[in-house]
Amino acid sequence: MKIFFVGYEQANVCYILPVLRALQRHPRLQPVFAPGTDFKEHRGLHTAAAPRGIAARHLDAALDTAELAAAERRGVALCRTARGWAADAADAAAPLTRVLAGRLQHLLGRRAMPGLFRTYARIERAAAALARREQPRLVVLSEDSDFLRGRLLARIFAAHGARVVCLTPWYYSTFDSYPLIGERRAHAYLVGTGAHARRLIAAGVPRRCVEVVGHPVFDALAADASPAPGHFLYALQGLPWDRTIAVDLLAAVAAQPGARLTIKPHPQLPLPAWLARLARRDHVRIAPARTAGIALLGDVRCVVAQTSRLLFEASLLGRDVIVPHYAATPLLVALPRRDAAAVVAASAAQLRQRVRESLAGRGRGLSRAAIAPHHPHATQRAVQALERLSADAR
Amino acid sequence: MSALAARRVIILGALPRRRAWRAALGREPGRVISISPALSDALVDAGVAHRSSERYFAAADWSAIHDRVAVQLRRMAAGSEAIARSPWLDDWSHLLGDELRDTLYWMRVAEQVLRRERPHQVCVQRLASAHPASPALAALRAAFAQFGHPCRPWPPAR
Repeated sequence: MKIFFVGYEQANVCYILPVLRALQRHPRLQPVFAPGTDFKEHRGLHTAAAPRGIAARHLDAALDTAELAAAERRGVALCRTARGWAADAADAAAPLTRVLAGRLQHLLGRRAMPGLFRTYARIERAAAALARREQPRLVVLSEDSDFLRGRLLARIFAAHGARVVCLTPWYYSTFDSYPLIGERRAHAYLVGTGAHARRLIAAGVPRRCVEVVGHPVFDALAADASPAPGHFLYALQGLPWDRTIAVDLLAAVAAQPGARLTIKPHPQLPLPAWLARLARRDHVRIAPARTAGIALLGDVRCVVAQTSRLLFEASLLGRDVIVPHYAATPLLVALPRRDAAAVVAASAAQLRQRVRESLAGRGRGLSRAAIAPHHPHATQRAVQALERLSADAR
Repeated sequence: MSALAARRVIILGALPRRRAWRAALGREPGRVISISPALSDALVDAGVAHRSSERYFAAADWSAIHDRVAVQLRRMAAGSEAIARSPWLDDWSHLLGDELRDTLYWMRVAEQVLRRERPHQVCVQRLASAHPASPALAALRAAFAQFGHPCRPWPPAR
């Protein structure tokens, strides 16, 4: 039986790759991958590449010229209607309505918006065409909340009679900012953590539809040799407070004999101009821009980052972590409550304290049971869950 | 503290220079509100009495934010049949929720500052746009304006 993995964007393919590879060897189930498209302000629209050796279907290929033209017309009409509606609503009297409408107007007025609407309409039509042609019985999505991917695709495939399963990438299990508003569209959810499962259940998903499988992407990680004392790694993410934190961290590290700091630039963002000045200081080194974070962990004792996946990988490798959170708004990542009390640094003083704790052997990482339950057997559990769901979908 | 000073609220995103601080606040600053834990620590070190903006936001407020967005969008869409019938409003909840998260957070803080402090005057610190606290201060200024209570810049222009 074919299992269709649809709509995973490039950044999320790695999270399901171990499952795809395991299914390639499965005697009864065959994975088929239909790449997803995502939008980022700094680089526009981007469609994922299918992993080598996995059967692929491309949504765009599902439409002929006439259908593409029809999707184009629908996208243009949707954009025009939405812009007009938001402008009308901006005249409302209530503050919340005015703010929402104002922000919507701003959002819909962006130059990229007409293109996004057209892409949305094209994916909508192509997914329906794929559903009619292939008649998939089991469709796996990254989530059912994202406008260009999961939410749209879940609606279409469910309407065509497929069972829809969300096998959620690490990102969706970890960031509280992903809203769960609106009607849930999937029939089952395979999630990475108990915290994510509880959020879904609190949002109205029946308990029997949610299963914690862990994160397959972390299965290959295992605690390794002892790190060198005093080596701290800070992962830049292009977030507010990055520079302030880097300056505070450098001061904290410089104050400790034998301690040193490596700063890892974000692989997809330009180097910030202020970094060159920091790099002239003793005790600090800038890692090559394209180096994968995991490759830098070799002799690192402690990883410092605001929201990076490296915090979780470092924890599984037995390293300490520090999460500076200087903003007043709530923390974006869902850290286990007990861990948060020990690893979050809300100010320069707390950051200095955490650095000293790590050097004194009193630092800690995030709890494995909370961030990667069933580690290192998440892939196996995900495959077993898909076996059960495919039997139900027949 | 005089009645007027007590009803003045000054919202800060960064520790001001000591000289500017003395000149602009005088002896009766009113209610000083810090918008970040790091600044709160610095204000404690500087001996400045203040409250943290976190005091104006309860955890329960946060969980309700996305629901408020959804309900309000549905209510707004009711006036436009084409929008109400279109699935895009629901499908785009992710993007809208992300975009509006900070705006609504600061809006709630502004609302609670006005309710609890009943200020005669609200002053918001001016910072360079590159300062990491600048977006939060801008969001607060916009929120106070939405509630019909425009802010004054701080420190005041000479």
